[in-house]
Amino acid sequence: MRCKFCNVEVDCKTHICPLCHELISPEEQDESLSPAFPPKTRKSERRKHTHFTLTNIYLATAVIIFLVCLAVNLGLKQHPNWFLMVGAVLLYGFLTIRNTVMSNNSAWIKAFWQIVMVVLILWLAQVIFDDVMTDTYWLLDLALPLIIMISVLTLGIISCAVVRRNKALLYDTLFLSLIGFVPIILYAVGLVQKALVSAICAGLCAAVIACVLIFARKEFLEEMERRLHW
Amino acid sequence: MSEKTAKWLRLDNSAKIFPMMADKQNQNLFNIFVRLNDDVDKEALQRALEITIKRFPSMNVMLKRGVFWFYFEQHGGKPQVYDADPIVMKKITASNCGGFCFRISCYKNVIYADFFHALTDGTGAAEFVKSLLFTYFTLKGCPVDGEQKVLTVGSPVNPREYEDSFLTNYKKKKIKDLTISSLKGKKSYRISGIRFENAGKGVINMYAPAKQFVAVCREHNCTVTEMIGALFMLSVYETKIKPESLPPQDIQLFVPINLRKIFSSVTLRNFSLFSRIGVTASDEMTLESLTSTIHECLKRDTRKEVLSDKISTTVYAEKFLPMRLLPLFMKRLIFKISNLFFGKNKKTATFSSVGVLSLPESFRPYIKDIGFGITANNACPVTITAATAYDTMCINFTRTITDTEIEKRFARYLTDFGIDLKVTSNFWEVDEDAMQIL
Repeated sequence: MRCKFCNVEVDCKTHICPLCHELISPEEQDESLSPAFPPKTRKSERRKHTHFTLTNIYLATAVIIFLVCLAVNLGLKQHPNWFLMVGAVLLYGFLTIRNTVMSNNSAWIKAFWQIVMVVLILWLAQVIFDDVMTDTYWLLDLALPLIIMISVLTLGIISCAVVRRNKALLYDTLFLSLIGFVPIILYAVGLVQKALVSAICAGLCAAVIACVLIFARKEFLEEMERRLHW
Repeated sequence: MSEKTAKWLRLDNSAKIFPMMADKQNQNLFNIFVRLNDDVDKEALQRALEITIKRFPSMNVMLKRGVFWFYFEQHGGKPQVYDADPIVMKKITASNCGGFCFRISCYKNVIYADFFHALTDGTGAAEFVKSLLFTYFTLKGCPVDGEQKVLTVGSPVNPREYEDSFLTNYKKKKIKDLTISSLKGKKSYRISGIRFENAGKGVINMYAPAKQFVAVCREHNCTVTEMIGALFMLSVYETKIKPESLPPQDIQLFVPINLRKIFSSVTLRNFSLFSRIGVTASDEMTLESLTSTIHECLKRDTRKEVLSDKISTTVYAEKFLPMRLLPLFMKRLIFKISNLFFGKNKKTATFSSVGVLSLPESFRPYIKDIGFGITANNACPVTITAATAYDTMCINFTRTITDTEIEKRFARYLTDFGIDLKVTSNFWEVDEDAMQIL
């Protein structure tokens, strides 16, 4: 079918000219032609502007929960201000969805941020509930090394289980294990009072690193080569 | 592919920049679309894809993030054939393409092959598509023959097919001898218009008989590339610059140059550089003056020694020690910031002329035509490409703006020359309700 205005043949199923958008006369129209492209749908058109993402739904729910807690806490004049703790946990949930669940980052980076966030929440709990949690050293002395040990062990076990399919986790395990030396460094600079748990944490991480280097040396070196090529 | 490289590949020199420039909306993509004479058999195409991918180890990869650079890791899975999305050249992500850097989809009688530029360039992609078509036709029972023009599945993989030809042709130079200025663009007119509110891009394909087009070019004593480039520049001037009475503006076309023939390379990865063709738009511009300017620019920029200097400059940038030592996130940050400040308004449009696709004669009964498209973005709202398969030349316009004035003017030039033009569109600028009412 032809557009008499543009003097071109229109080679797809349509009623208008692709160039000038003038109507093509009905006698010119050819119903045997098919569309050149998949037809535009409302779904495809609006995809960019969709608001019902997992993050947005979570965010809306979290804001409502936080506002209710804020109203109850301040309305009943309760002490301490526990709504801050609720806010922190909700924020943690949001960051977990954004930076852990829906992120393409490496496992060790995800684990690192999880450790940071959990430690910050515990610190906030200590600040808010200072009447109950009187020992100010439990966080760095006990909680931090324990969280690191749990993370390293979890990642280590997973990476051992899937080493044949996913060698990248070995690299992640090793990097995360390096964080295990942070508590003992904090002890060395005087920020941690009791050395026992920090030393266990450092020892465990050293053992994990040694295991990786002994039992999966080849795989690890391959992974290091590709990750660190420059 | 050797045992060592089978597991992972460094990105080639040119590819290194593409993942760094990608953001939520933009990604350097291009596509090849093949219109067959019959509807596509999706199941046969799926089988053909699974067979063909084994012949192309450099395509069977997923993009991974390293500490200093991105790299490709061998993909363990099978690529899928998808139903074509209404959004042309939709962003390729790990979630919508199974981790592959390309996407094969189909709709009625059309096969779309979208590629992320980090993976390959137009020539490499064309080889892959040809091989895919060969396998597809074979599975469908069509009597086809590769005729030494197709990398068939059984043919041995030449290690040179996945080499980084930039590195093999790199000649070490001192920093003062590098041609950094030749890679920088100068400020030029950026095509204005109302952007699409929704996702997606407008596409118009023009199909012309190749013989008619070549005859017109002979009349004007120019090549097809020069003719299309000149007509596009004239169309931009007459529909955009002249009506708005803008002060003198430079129209600058960004034209990729395939380096394979010049440097005797058979790589299937990126191996192209570019030429910037610029003219100051004015009423004095004529078709003859523009074809002559384009001819001079291409002649200047396709000399082996000029290209060799450019290769040395780009590879030097990659090998520059401070650049190598920067962690990837800092490299990306620097690229994005420099692009924000220095990358804008450096080109009016990208114009890529693939030339005549070398296809076996035995494919002719099954293929209607083949086209090639490059994604447009806000920095470059209109792109134009030309490719010829058998007797049909396909000129593709992809745009992020609603109006079709440039295409309309361009088509009028061709019809005034007496060329029988066939046009198709995805009508992205037309409201869906309006399309149904009409």
